[in-house]
Amino acid sequence: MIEEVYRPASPDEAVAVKEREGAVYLAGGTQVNWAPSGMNPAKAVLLAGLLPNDVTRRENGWEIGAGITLQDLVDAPEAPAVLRRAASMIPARCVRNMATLGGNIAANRTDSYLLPALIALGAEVETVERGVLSVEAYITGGEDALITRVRLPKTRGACVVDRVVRSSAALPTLTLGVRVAEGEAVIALGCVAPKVTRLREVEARVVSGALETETTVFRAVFDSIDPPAGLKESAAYRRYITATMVARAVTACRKQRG
Amino acid sequence: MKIKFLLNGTPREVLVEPGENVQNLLKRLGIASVRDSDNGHAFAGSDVISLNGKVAYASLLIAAQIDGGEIRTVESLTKDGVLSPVQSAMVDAGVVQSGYNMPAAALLIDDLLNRSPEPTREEIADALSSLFVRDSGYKQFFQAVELAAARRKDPDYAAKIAPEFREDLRFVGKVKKKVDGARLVRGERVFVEDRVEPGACVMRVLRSPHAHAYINRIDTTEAMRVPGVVEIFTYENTPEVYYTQAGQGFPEPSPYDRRLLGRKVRHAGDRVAAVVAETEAAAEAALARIVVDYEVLKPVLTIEEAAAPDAPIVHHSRLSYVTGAPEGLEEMNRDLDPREGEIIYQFLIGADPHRNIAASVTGGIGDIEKGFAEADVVIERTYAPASHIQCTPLETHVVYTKMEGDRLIMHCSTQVPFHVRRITAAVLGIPENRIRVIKERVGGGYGSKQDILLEELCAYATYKTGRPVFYKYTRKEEFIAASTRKPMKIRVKLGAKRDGRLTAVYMDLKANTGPYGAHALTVPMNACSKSLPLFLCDNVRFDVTVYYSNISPTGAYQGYGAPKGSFALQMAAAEMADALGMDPLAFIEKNRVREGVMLEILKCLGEGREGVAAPVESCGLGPALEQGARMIAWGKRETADDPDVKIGKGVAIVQQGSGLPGLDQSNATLKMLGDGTFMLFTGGADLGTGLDTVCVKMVSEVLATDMANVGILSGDTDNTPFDSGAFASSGTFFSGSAALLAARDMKQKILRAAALLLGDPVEALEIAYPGKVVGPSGTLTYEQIARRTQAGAGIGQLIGEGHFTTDKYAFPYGAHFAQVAVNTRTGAIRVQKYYALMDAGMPVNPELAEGQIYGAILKSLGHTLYEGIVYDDEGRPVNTDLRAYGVPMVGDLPDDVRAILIYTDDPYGPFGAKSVSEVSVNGAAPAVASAIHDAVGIWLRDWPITPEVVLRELGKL
Ligand SMILES: Cc1cc2nc3c(=O)[nH]c(=O)nc-3n(C[C@H](O)[C@H](O)[C@H](O)COP(=O)(O)OP(=O)(O)OC[C@H]3O[C@@H](n4cnc5c(N)ncnc54)[C@H](O)[C@@H]3O)c2cc1C
Ligand code: FES
Repeated sequence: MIEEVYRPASPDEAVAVKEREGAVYLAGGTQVNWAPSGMNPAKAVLLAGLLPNDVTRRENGWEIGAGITLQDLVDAPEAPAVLRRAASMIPARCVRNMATLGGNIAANRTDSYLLPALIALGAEVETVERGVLSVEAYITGGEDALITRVRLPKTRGACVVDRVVRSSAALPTLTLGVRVAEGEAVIALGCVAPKVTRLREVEARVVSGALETETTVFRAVFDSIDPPAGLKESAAYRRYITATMVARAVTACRKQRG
Repeated sequence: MKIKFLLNGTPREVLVEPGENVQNLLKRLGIASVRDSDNGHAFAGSDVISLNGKVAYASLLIAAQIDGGEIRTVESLTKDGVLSPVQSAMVDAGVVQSGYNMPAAALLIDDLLNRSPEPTREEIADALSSLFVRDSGYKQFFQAVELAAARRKDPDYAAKIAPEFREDLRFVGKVKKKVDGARLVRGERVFVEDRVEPGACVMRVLRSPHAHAYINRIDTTEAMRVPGVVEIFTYENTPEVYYTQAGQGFPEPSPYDRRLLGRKVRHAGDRVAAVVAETEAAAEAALARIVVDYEVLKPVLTIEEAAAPDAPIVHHSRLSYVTGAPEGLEEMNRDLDPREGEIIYQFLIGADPHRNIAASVTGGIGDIEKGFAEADVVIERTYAPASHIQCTPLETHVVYTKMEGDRLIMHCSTQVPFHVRRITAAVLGIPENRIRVIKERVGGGYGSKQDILLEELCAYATYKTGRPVFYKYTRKEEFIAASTRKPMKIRVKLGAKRDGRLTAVYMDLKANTGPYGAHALTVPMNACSKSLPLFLCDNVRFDVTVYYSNISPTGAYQGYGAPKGSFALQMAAAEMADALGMDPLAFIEKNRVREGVMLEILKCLGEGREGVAAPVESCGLGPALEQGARMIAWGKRETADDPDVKIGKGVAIVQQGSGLPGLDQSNATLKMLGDGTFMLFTGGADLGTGLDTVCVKMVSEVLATDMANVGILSGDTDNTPFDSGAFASSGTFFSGSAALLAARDMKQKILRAAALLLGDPVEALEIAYPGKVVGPSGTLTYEQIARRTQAGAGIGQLIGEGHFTTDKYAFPYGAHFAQVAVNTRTGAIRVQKYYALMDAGMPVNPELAEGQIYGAILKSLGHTLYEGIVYDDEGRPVNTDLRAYGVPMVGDLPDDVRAILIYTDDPYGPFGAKSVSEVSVNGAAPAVASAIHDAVGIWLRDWPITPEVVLRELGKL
């Protein structure tokens, strides 16, 4: 049980307290306090009220405060539609009302709905200790720097987020974010590896025009992934369904672009 | 630390541990309405609160997070005890059934309407996405929200909630507030957990990590040293009394094959030791210090493994029979390991436990060989509805026991209070009059609370230590140590003439009863007895064999074995229709049961006793099939915009019983009080279904007095007469009939008393609304009658008695239609339409009956498509939480789901009523599976039916 909590006056102080006390950050707490997460820290730095939680539209994109709750993100008309949709996929409003964007990134779960969307959108995080990093670098590097803001560049091309769930409230079998633009493609997948990953080789072949049809995209994805079996799903099924969904998403992006 | 916050408008300053879970904290502060169904897994939503104007799960918050905040709980919605528009709408719409998380639901809807006064369907579904509802299946919530939205503007707004029946009746067949609805939606203290007094001890059970093992030695020395530990029970200090946990009428067909704590563990999660301690922390610490030396044995998990010639034996026990005995018993009992214990049978049930056979039975009518010889087409198929499904009540199993003098008081959440008393008395070796069982409100049962899973252990602990003890299952224990439905494998062989007439039906059913034999005979038999009589055929035969294994315990589950038997037989019928090139609906129509026929097959389907043939007195299948076919546009091919998506339609017919004629019994006592109102005392156990409301309506109808004038006390073994309990769809038919008979008895007594008082002959008098007797010489109100009968010179308090037993059957029937879209590329299955047309006779509580049907539909869709316990190779369940197990939620509700009540008037049911809830779980699997066949041409014969299975069958994987 958490025995000690700290309420720093600024993000800088939060970083200092965390270092000094060996505490964890607690934003919404939906991960830290969630019984099955098994985190069970002794000391926590409360982030509530400390981080920005606004959505600001800029000429070259968006800036979103890391303290924004996922529900506020869903409800922010000025935020990018795909990101709002990704946030809305977390099934319970009671969780979305508490969970924060920063917490979702830092929790670094492979079944995150937001991470594939953020990566597909080319998002970056502003951190106190490490400055600006891409979301991808943050999660692959296993960072724990304090995220204050998320930056999203203006979206180029078309972007699709999707998922596969066994039943509406089950943990996902697949989460994905796919963006296809002129000379650029991003395929970010959750649930196929221990962390959300990109299929860089497939992306390059999509860009080069080597994968023109849905079938060729399917084949390329199928050959480049090796997801583990799930509790109730075989590895073969997960591989097939992932390839199918990515192929569909790429087609959808291409169609949207016209 | 000290925190300050507003709790329902009142400033509070409280000393807390910063990390204290807010659900616990609120409980500590006297808020009982914020509950927990899953130990902080944030899935079930029994712990919803409003924090700073937003709904949140209390169990996901720690105390430090609410410092300076504002918390509202359901208590803030009620002013002076008056329900808010949201709460009253919920009660009126019939969504409040078992009610455990209805305070949470009220907060969610209130929040929704604050944000969006006229919400869309999507917004309502989103609001409910935080809530797991198992009993009423979400559908009526949409109506409740609409009603609440209107009532916020106009508090008197009323709308038609459900169809009503029989104009000649005032209460029965009418939409009326469920009698306990207001208490449940207000979040009152009505559950077992609310009875626990300060200073009570807690119980924790050490459960076996092995699926099959002997216990060589248990050392509790270190554990006993933990401060706060009161006592630890093991096989060494508990009686070697054998019993069954099945709450069935005595003598039970279930074998007495377990003791409180044994020397052999038969499933991962089996009881090893029970700790009684003053705090949870002490109990947990003690559990960790108990040292057990196990001799691990190979587990048996499936029917095939159990039946193998060299299979490990789950019960190599000493066998004895109270009546009858198989040949060679002495031989069987030679050279046994005493650690195996014993099995006592009340009578022969075809058991051969030394071959892992827990029970077996065979029977039939006509000449099956002749039937197959006459057939033009014969098909033989094997179905494996093998998913191991769990009841998942919102309120986990729970009991609170304490001593009052030398009497043991048990606060229980049970469907069978009188069996709890009987079995506990037997285990403790004390007379029944030293035990009082009080059934509290039951936060969901679905059959699993027909079994006595923790009550007797806790009772023993209290009896031995003299301490009050509280024991509530964790959600994990619910998965590893509570009743589940028995996995089955069913081979069906059908013979039919070219015109579709069935000439022979054969069913070979194998079931897996798990570690103990609770309902071992009766559940699998029900798979036959509730499916075979749906088709009229002269030559029918069945073989049932039930195996012991080392999976989680099985037992009773809504519908008993019927959903699995129905799946097999209805699917086989669809496959036969296909083989004959016939429309499945036409095939059903050709062979189905009809009003007036004699069901000869029932002769061989008695539940552990001789059966009798019985006539079908009422059957609404004809109109149900006709209306359903029209609604779903049967025969019309639907197409989707997406070329990958194919749409198909399926149909299944279903039946159940209404209690067990010749086995069940119900009693009720009705007392007239001093002011002419009444108190009804019934042994019936309302588990949220509305049985108390049924009973009150019976009395109000007969005595022409408003429901508010009839109080009810039910399921209290000290104060209410005997009832065999709420199972096998007995509630309305049996307990309702007892209430009806008590009311009729009271009516006669009132008339006789009035005749004396008025000086008129009894025949000249009539009961009239509201609550009076009218005769030639005048009118007497019930109050006047009560005052005078209870005065010094009166004839005494008027007390009516009702005693109901019967040998008559009343079968509820139904037709279920499904329209399913199958994506041939992803395997995704979407149930677009689901129509359940149910003949429950006269629906006494129409809106609650609909709720029961909706609940059953969603539950059975879950069983078919998502749910199931998964085991590792050693037989340990690995998905022991609701999310991983896969319960359906609001997002899984079919796009268009409708429950239609088909009225029939059963001659034996009270006011023509039959049962409704169990029967409705039997249709989803066959209706959906045959719709999938109609869509994409594949027959799926195993559960669960998943996208992966679809893809495999389509050759995509
Ligand atoms: C019922 C339930 C369902 C869920 N479903 C999903 C799901 O479908 N998809 C999904 O992705 N997640 C899901 N989650 C997981 C999780 O709650 C979310 O990812 C959430 O966004 C975490 O945010 P939080 O603010 O609550 O994080 P917290 O629990 O407060 O923190 C999570 C982690 O991030 C760190 N942290 C928090 N904020 C920051 C920050 N600004 N900078 C650096 N580190 C930080 C914390 O120290 C901690 O390690 C679910 C959780 C629950 C309880
Ligand atoms: S955490 Fe919400 S009901 Fe258990």
